[in-house]
Amino acid sequence: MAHTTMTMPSTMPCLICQTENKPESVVCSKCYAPMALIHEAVIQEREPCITSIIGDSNVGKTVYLGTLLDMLTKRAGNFEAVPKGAYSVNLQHTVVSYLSARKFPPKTPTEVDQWHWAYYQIAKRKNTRLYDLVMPDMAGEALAAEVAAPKTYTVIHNLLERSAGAMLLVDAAVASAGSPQPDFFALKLMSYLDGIFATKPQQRISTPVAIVLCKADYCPESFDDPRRFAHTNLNRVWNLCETRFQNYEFFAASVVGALGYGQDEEGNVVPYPLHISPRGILEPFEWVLSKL
Amino acid sequence: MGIEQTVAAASGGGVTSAAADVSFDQAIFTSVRNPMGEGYRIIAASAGLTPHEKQVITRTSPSHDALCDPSADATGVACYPLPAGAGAPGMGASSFAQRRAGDGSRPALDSPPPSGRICIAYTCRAGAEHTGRGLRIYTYNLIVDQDGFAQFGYNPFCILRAAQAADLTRPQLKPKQILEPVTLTPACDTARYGKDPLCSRYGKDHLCSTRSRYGKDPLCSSGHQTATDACQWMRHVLQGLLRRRKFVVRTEGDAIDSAEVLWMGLPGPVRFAASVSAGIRFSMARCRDLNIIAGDKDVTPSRAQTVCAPTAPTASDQAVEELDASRWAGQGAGEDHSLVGQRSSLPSGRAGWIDLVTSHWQQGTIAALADRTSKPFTDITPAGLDRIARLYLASDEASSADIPRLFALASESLEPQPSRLCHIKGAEADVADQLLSVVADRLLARLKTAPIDVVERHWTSITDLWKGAEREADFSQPLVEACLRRVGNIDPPAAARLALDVSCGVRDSIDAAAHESLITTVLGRFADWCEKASWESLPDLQNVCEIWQRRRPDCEFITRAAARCHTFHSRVGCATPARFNLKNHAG
Repeated sequence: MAHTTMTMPSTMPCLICQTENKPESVVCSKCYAPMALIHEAVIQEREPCITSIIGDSNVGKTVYLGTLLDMLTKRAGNFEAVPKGAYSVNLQHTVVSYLSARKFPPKTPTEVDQWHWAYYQIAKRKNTRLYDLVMPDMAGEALAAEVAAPKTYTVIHNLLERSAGAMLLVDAAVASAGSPQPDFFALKLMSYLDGIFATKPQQRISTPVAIVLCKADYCPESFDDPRRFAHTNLNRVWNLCETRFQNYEFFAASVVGALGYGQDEEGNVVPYPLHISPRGILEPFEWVLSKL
Repeated sequence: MGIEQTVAAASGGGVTSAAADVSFDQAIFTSVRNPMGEGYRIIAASAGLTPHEKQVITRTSPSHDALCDPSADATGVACYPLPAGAGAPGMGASSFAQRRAGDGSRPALDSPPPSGRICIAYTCRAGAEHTGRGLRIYTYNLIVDQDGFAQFGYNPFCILRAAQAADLTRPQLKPKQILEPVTLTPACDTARYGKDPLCSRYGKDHLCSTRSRYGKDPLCSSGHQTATDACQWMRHVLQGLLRRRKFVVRTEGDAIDSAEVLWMGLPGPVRFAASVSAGIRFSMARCRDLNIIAGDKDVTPSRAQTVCAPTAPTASDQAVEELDASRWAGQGAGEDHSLVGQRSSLPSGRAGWIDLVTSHWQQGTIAALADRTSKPFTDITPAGLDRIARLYLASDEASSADIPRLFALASESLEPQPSRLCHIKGAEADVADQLLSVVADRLLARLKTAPIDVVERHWTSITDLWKGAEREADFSQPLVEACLRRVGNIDPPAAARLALDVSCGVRDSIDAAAHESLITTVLGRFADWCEKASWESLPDLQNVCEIWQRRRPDCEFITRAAARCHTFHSRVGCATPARFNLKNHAG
């Protein structure tokens, strides 16, 4: 009778930063990414495909990603998504629970170990190709800090470096109101991506980047023609994309159908999502997948 | 309760006596929306902050919902070392911990502290978040170098009290982008505050026997817990901290108070290299050496949660032990839960130090503890700590020791031990001197009130020291003076006999003129006494006079006394008395 012995390696590399950690570690000692990611990757025997969702603080990354994952698990767009590990469900669980209670989910803390990570196996139905997608819900503040002073959050740098695609979320509502902030922040992020993804100085970046115009329900015209909207309201980003990126596309998206405003017990104004009406959530994801 | 209530006590134990102004860089980390962006970030800082320091502060400062207490007036504090100038990312408190000893049992304190600065952070809430999602967290940071930190007795809580007294911690949501460095003065004027503030805050009565003004006692985190229980979990944590282990301690009492009492148990220089947080939710990303949380049931890691060191050769588990202070009943099998007086399983160095700290905790003398542990000791190895602890314990013992024990302590302290003396310098030498001073004071006090026969019984011990090395002679000179004065006042002939032992061979370090004056006084009284004494008292004194005459043939007092004795002997013709052994003083 043959015996097979499974031997655990004495150390395992972190999926994000490759730091060797003991197998029983919960998080990476260097970047604090969950070690469950690499455990899943080992089990799948496939190199996972990291897709990063980036954007400014309060742009709606958590709500977008949570809604996207929830839609995928509900087989929207003919997708099939299987969460690999219960921790992967936490984000969509939190987002859907809060939205159901007519509240926005809490702000994502800047502490890396508090971020939600999602590891999903995704495929179009009747399609044989499987994607092992890792999508972290990063804090906008951490992204801003990393962009302003690179290597403040090594996990972000490593994560983007290993990303096969990215979705850049921009606050379309603020941009359409004439504020230059979304354009500037997106410009910084695209410039940062340019630095990370660039292989040769004169070569355009081939990594797909979907620029998602969030909160588009405030500016319905962005749904009609996202490119035109971006060209008008996010001109700096538009120009950089044209110059440096080979695979980029603009999409409009919104999750909340209507907002109400109320006051908490201390008189602070608090926005309440009145109803959920996801629109344009799947398209950018589908586009990124098609480019992988 | 937080720092607020302690503003009046803007000083704390351990502040160095020669306090000078200390300059601090500042940084404010919070969430505001301004033209440059929004969300949590450093919104204002002093120009002196290096990019690396900013990175660490940004990465480890608490953000949304990070305070344990959900109330609007919740506070938290943290103190952690910052990397030196060229430090690589990740060289914050947590990675300092990672640079620590490879095995968990390695002596904790023999590695030098980081050469960077230290950040002392005060966290509170500052109104509603501009996004409408909860309350804003505001962290005010003070950054100081080791010298400045030492000026404040290595006590971050003391620095925060001083900052609060200067109104620096009040949230500023629209500060200037560049903050000027601030100057704080370590105040240690106990007269100003009536009594030592830490004593008044953490006095023995305060600990458990009475309900404190803060509602709960800092050490007793639950109603049923006694001071001994509280000391036990604190002792366990202190042992772990000295072994470079990390702790998340959940307490139902005040997290900041508990943290300060515990933190004062560490030697001052170690506090510069270690990190602590209180009242702030635990996060692996800012895992301090000591994390004290309060009223927070769902944020600590499981007991088994570990983080691993990054590189294989030195890879080690950096286990974070979770401990519930209110339910502490000696968990952690194999640990030493004995209190002072019981044999500790730790190596002697740690055991001595921990016994010292525990005795202070038990007695509630936290201010004294802070004063003792906050000195700039240069040797903080276990052996060094053992020496220091023994000096302090001996000092405590001296206050109630009898005369023979005091002489034993003096001999022990004065005994030249080259291997030991080579380590004793700086603050430790001061402690040793302090011990000698205490022993000398106690001996003086005891001998001044002791019966003559007791003084005579111990006179040999005194003169042995007096004839010893210069240090011993210096130590014994006040005793000689006190004894001779005391005996001289009551029994001049006995004083004259005793003075023979110290009549010659005066060390250079002793004031010879003063000593001679003392001897002269003794002899003068002796001569006066002889003239007035009855004939029956004189027979014993002839030999004393003869010896003194040989030593000081020209001394007027001796001549007078000898003449009186001679007259008596010529009249009575009595034999040489046996009471005083001439051989001892033949020279």
